Amino acid sequence: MSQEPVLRVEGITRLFSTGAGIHDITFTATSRGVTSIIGPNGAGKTVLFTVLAGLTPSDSGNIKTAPGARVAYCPDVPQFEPWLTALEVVETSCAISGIRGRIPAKEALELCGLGKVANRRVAVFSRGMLQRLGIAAALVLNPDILILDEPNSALDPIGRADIRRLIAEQKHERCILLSSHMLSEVEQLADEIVVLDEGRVVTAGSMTDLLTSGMEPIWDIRLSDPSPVDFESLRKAQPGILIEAISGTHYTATYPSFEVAAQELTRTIELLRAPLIEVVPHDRDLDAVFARLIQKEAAS
Amino acid sequence: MQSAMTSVRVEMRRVLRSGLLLGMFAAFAFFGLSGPVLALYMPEILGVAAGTDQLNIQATEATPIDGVALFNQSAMQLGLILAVALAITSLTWDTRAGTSIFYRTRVQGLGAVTIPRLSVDWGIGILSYTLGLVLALGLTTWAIGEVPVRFAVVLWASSVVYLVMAMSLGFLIMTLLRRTATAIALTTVLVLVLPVLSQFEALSSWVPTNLLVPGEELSSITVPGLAAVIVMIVCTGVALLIAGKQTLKRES
Repeated sequence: MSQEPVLRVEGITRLFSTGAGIHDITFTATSRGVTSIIGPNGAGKTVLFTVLAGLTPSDSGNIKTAPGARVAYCPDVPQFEPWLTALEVVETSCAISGIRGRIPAKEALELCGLGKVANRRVAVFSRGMLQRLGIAAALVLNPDILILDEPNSALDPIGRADIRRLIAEQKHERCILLSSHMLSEVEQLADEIVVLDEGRVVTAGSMTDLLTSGMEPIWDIRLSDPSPVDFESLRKAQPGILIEAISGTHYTATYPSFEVAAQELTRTIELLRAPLIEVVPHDRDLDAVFARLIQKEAAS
Repeated sequence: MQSAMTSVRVEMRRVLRSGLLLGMFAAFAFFGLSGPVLALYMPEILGVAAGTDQLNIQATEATPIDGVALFNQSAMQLGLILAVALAITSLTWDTRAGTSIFYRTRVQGLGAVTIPRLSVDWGIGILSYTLGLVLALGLTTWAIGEVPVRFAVVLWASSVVYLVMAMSLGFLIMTLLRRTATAIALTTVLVLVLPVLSQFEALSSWVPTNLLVPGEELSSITVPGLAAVIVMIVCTGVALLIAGKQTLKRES
């Protein structure tokens, strides 16, 4: 993925009279790839996006984009004038921006799974269809920076898979800023993560760095059948390594260090003597990392 | 230019598909047909309404001017409110976050969205009034008598200028409030109360409400007409300035 920055956000603050808002947000997004903004409800994700989209001025800070970079914003609840058809919405999106898009309107609708309803009026669209239409209307502008606020929140599993596939394709063409509560999806798509809590950046970095930060050398081992080996024998075979049963077929193995784990993990699996389903680092999913970060932030 | 033409197309689709265009034409056509009929049968109607020995109401035989005047009365009250509502609802997109985001993130200046749409509505207002007036003139000429051409021309000119001014006023109020029902209510009260200004001697010669009761010559409407055009330009310009400075409306 291109490392060239297309967006630099420096010290952006925007506060409302209620006290809500964002404080001193700083991060960089590259010209190709997905930067995901995650945080609990009310963390300031949408406020940040409206500032980046130019809809709300910031109180302080700078936003620098690459020269001539075009920004398109798809909100979490896209709305359109109900008497327009889906095709007219996308055509209007392009025409009113005064640009000649690279993707024809019909193709943008096909990409978002709305090809068959192109001539249907928006008034009868479900929320999921409106979300897809919002993405199509943004894509047709061929933006350099595409901001998607909760693009999957109203979609069924098939719809979510479609949009995930679309984002995975599009991230090779442009910078995508994405917010989502579905951290499993973010984990699949994001290259960089910015974690917000109470309007401030808690941490930012690559997905790999985030997933491995604070990790301990503990592995979850799932077997298809319970292991026939008793724990006493396992302890004798691998002293210094703690193996615990979470359930009949789910075990955790705790090693003194990652280096020891690199040498001994394979042997642990052999010693358990049952067909292996999966072995993954313990709590390595984004949900667990996120919870850990937010709790740590709350405690500090 | 492309943005402006796109806005025109969107507004045309709105008024066509929502039934607003048909509603405007139907309303003004109704006024145009009912005005002369009302004038023609006014003596009978009032006679039935009076109905007691104590009360005796008489109306003179209708003249051609009466036929058209009754049309204009309805057109410049009920019809005016409809036309103002048409202009106000052209800004409904800015009352909802989603549609507001759609347009505000795609244009450099909101004038490319708002002014073309208002222009379409002005055109529809003028066409609707003209349709009603033509029907009123036709029916009056057939049923009562010929209407002086000069009178008809002066009436048309004064009424359409006033109509466009009132629509611009509603447009400004809607831009400020971004609440459709409140804007319609407020503008309705305003346009119904404004004619009172003609009663003040200091204002009587130039205030635009004089357009509601024009004289027989075009010269009688020159000064108030100019004042109405200025009001229209100021309302539209101020609305544009305000819209540009507004941020996204946070829905309550």
